[in-house]
Amino acid sequence: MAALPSEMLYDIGNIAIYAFVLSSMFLTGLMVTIGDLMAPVRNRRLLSLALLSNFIIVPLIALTLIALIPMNPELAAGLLLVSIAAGAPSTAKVAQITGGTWPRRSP
Amino acid sequence: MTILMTIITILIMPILVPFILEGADAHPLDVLVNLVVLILIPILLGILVKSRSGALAARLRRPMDWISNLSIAAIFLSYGIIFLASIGEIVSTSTGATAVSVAVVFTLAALGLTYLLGRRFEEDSRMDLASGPGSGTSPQPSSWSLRALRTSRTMSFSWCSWSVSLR
Repeated sequence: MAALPSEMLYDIGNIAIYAFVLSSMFLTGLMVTIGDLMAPVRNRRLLSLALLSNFIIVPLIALTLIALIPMNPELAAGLLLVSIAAGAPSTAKVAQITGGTWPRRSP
Repeated sequence: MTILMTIITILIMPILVPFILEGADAHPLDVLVNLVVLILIPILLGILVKSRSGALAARLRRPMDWISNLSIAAIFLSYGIIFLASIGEIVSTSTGATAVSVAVVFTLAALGLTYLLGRRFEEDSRMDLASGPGSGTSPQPSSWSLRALRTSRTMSFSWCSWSVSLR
């Protein structure tokens, strides 16, 4: 691929990342109340499981892969970063696409 | 639950990133400021708008949804094209081949384990548990296939972005 189109694509992608993060987070705020945000806290079992799976199990999978598969430090760092990003901005959109608990529109 | 996980991520990322990126110039405060400005403030601003004027919030939802959908399409298209154009080059190196295979194994393992953990919960909750690293399914086989298809499509784009970002 020629250098210019590739650079242009990177620029488009980078601008789109900011547009996506800001718009989707603002949209999320437009759909919820503080009460909605705190609702999952009342389901302690689900909350514990979510914390366990997102912040313990998934990073452990990454650490296991790093231990088992020889890889350079940059790749290992990237994998660890991905593994601890449980609530990356794209997660809300993935939840919306796959039918998870994306905030439904309420009056 | 998804938003709650996002907020928890904002809190723990600044603490963990300097340890993960040892030797890199990643100050916890810089990481925190970036996450607060890009994620927390827009969420709080949206909540504020909704609490002050439900009508304005309702009017803003549609354009925001469009911007969000168009920009995620632009992300996947631009990085997808870059990734697909150089996929031969990426997988021909041992680092690239390792990155792609590790991404596939990691995503499948994370998706499977988190979904299995949430199997006693309702479908929405299972989806939430799995949608951080992957996503889940529903009990009906037809719906399962549809969701698996949607999920694999979404995740394949994530692999693309991730692999490109590693280059």
